[in-house]
Amino acid sequence: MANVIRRKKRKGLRIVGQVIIYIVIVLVFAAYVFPIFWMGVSSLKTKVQIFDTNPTIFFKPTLDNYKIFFGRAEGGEVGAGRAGASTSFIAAMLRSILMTGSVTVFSLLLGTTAAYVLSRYKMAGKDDLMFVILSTRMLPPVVVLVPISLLFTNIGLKDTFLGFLLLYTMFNMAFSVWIMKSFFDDVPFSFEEAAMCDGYTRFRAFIKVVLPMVKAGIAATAIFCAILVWNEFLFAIVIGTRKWVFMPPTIFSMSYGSEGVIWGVLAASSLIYIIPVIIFVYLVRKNLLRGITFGVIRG
Amino acid sequence: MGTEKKRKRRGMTDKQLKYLFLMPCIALLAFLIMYPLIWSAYLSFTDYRAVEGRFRLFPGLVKERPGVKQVKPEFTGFQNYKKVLRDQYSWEHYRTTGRFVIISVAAQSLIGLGLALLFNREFRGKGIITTLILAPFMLSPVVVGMFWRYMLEPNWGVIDFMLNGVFGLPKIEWLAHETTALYGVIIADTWMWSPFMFLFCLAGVTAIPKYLYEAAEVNKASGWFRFTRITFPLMWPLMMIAIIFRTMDAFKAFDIGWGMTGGGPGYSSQTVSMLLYRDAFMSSKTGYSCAFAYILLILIVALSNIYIKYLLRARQR
Repeated sequence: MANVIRRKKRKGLRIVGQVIIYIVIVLVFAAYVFPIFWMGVSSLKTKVQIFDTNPTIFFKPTLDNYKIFFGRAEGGEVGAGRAGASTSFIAAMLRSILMTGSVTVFSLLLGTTAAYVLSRYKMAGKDDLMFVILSTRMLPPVVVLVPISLLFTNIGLKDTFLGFLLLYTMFNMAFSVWIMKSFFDDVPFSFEEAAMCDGYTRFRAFIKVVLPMVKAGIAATAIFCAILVWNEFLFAIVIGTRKWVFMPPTIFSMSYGSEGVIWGVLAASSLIYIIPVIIFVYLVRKNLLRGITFGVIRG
Repeated sequence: MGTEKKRKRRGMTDKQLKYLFLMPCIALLAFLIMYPLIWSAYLSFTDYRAVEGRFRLFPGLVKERPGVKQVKPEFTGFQNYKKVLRDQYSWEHYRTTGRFVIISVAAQSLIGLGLALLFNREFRGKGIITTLILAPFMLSPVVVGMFWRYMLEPNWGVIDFMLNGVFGLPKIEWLAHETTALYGVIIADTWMWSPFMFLFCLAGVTAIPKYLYEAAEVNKASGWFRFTRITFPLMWPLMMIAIIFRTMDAFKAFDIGWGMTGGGPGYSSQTVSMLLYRDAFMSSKTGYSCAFAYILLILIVALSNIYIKYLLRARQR
């Protein structure tokens, strides 16, 4: 009898414990989502509502800030904080999309081919090369920034599409080569051997047999490369001074507008800017750990 | 291998393929990493300033503006390095950076660990909730910095408003004071990067085989015992990797602080990366900042060596 009561008591305690844990999970979730939620709320406010010392979530929403973003309202050029830069948000966004897309394609092209060779061939100094590639990601960007910006000024690559393409592809190399190599390592060599016995060249075996088997890896690598380029800020402000001004510097330059920070527009544009990243993170969630450890940990 | 003949029949040989595939990669490395590093090593021993007319490595490649005189960099030996190491002002920045790295990495590790233990169970909507919590560290740091600058605004920021209105605490006005500005940045950094720790810890926790806990259950082991003897030791290697990675990244942090405070008020929240950026691009002390960059580089290389060693050891497991 006493045993039964104790068991019941324990069961009751366990349910209370479960409830507490779920409440904590909900609170944690709320805390993490709050900044983004608040950005969303603020993007629907007018200037006056934003500067209210009693911030509230109950107000009459307005879409003005989004209209400014899409250049449909007055003040559409507020992003033009930087001298001589003609940057509307849409233009900056399109530039960012164009650059992200091109760099991703270029990085994949370079990354998959190099990773294939590094995964399949025996050669002298292979480990050293892999190490050098990885260490490029370890360098503090601001350290290489000085010589690279000097170099780019010297050879006329500053503020050009080609300059950014090469630079960002370089940045992505550690990711693309290491992640792709880890996926190639998972494909047994016997597949290519079989294909080559059937009369395929090495190159055709690579294209027709191996590549389709690492589709998931290519997709994951593409997403990681894309996010990296999409978010890059430091080189974007130093190298892209006039023509190639991307989204992050445009959003940043708003904080130096002549009339103070235009927070509403900033909130709206940041939100539009981060939504693709959140979708990407969702798509790549299974390979997230593998991606950020350069394919070393197959979580 | 019997494929030797067939391979020769058409297309390229194995060797050609190897070089064709690897060359672009090596060329890019040489062009954008090796070459700039060697050049800046040279500049770090000179008094070069990027504003005093431009010294061109390849004259004729770029159109010069009329009237700009070419100034050759003057060799000054170890002067720049001496200046960097003796500068009291930059030592204060090292201290700020150190404080930033230690506090934010410690906070992130603890929170990440706690979150992982909390999420180590099945519940409805776990997938989407986890993804949304993980999202911050993939966002652009500068935009995250602006987010938080907005929320920590002294006059109408929502964080102070909540602390004040809900908990009755005095307004802290995080970013307005020299003593608290750095902590404001640390809070933002922790929001952004504790999910990164969480990801590693969660992977570590979920990889622990269930039978260990069953055995502990049989032996009536306490929760604390289970944590200290099973959970923690088994997830530690993964967590260690995350901690080293975060330490390196926090040391290099630029975007988030730049978006939040720009190093201010005064230079109270300015890390070495920001100082270097100012020296190089706002004061144009090019030679000096090259020397500064090299000193930072050596520090980071030492750290990243440890990191890579740990990472590769984890792979062998």
